[in-house]
Amino acid sequence: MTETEEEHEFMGVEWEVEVRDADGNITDSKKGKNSLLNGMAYELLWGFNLSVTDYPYDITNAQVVPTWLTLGNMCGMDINGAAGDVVHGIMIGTNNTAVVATDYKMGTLIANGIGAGQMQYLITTCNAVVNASPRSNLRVDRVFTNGSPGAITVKELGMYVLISAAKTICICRDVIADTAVAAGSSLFVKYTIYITI
Amino acid sequence: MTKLVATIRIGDKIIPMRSPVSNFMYLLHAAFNVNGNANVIDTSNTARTVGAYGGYGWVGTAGGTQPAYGISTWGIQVGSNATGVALTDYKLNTQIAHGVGAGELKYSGQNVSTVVTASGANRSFKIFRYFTNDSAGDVTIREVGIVMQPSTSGAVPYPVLVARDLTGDIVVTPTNAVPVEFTWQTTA
Repeated sequence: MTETEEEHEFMGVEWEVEVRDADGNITDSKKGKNSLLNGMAYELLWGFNLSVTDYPYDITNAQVVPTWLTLGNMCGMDINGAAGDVVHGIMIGTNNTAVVATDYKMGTLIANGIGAGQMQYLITTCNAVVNASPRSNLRVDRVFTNGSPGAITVKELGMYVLISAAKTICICRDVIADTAVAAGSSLFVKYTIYITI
Repeated sequence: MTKLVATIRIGDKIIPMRSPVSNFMYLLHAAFNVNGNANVIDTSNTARTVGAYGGYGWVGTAGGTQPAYGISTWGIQVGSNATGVALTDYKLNTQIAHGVGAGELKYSGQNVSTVVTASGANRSFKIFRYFTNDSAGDVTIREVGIVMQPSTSGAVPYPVLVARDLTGDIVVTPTNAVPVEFTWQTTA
């Protein structure tokens, strides 16, 4: 197998951010490829192979068994964070320390709220699968609004999922160029997970 | 950046796994929506609703059970048709049947490995199965696939193709066996 062939990704992830001012005008946008973490791989591997005993690490850095036994779903990865929810869904932070595969949480999570340095987390939406050969895409997005008194600079993005009732794992984390969100502005973050035939 | 990659070893040949199909994404969507369902197409080309209870193994079933010897309706499958892969594929184009007749191969039981440390922080695991030719003539494999059995609220598992790849001609001569092995791994 050649080097090029070997690098064919089974699954890829892209991110995109848009900053909108109070009038809804886009004032900044960026996009890039995701840094998939071991957490995502662990979870997928668990879903593929229930005899796996090498479990993912949650955001407290504790190894946890990914079960949704009460729901009968042993590989559930609940990503549908509600408004204000900072334990699952898309997350943002202020730490631009480089990503490593074993990252298990955001560097410095921005808290939900309207105080200094805080942003309001709206709901995370997991959209329907869109097939556009050769790709099949699954987009997850979330809007964050800055109701604080000052500008906030976002430096990292990520996704958290619940893999059991109270266990959160970080499935990906990305460091982005400084993205300032002025008071009264909002940040729209989109992650697209895709496969390519 | 860490990537999730997969490879297929068939006999002595190793090729990248390129072709998860749209059913795979529907199941992933269901996993993200823990209480949601996935609307997939099973191998009989029938729309099925799975996923709310569908975590019972993407390869195995509840408890990690794998397809046994002679079970060819799910697990790793092989076929003889080299038609290109489409996102909407729901079965192998021409599956090779289990048996000892002309053009048939015997399907072994399927096995899986536990996750192992591949290198540094990387992780990987394998599923594999043997195909033996006890027929009188050569049998040529040209496609391989993985069929899962996600369970459903009615506890009726439907076979769902999640990946199909072309292998090039792999000739299995009489009395010989060929292993087919899928490996998933993270890689830096």
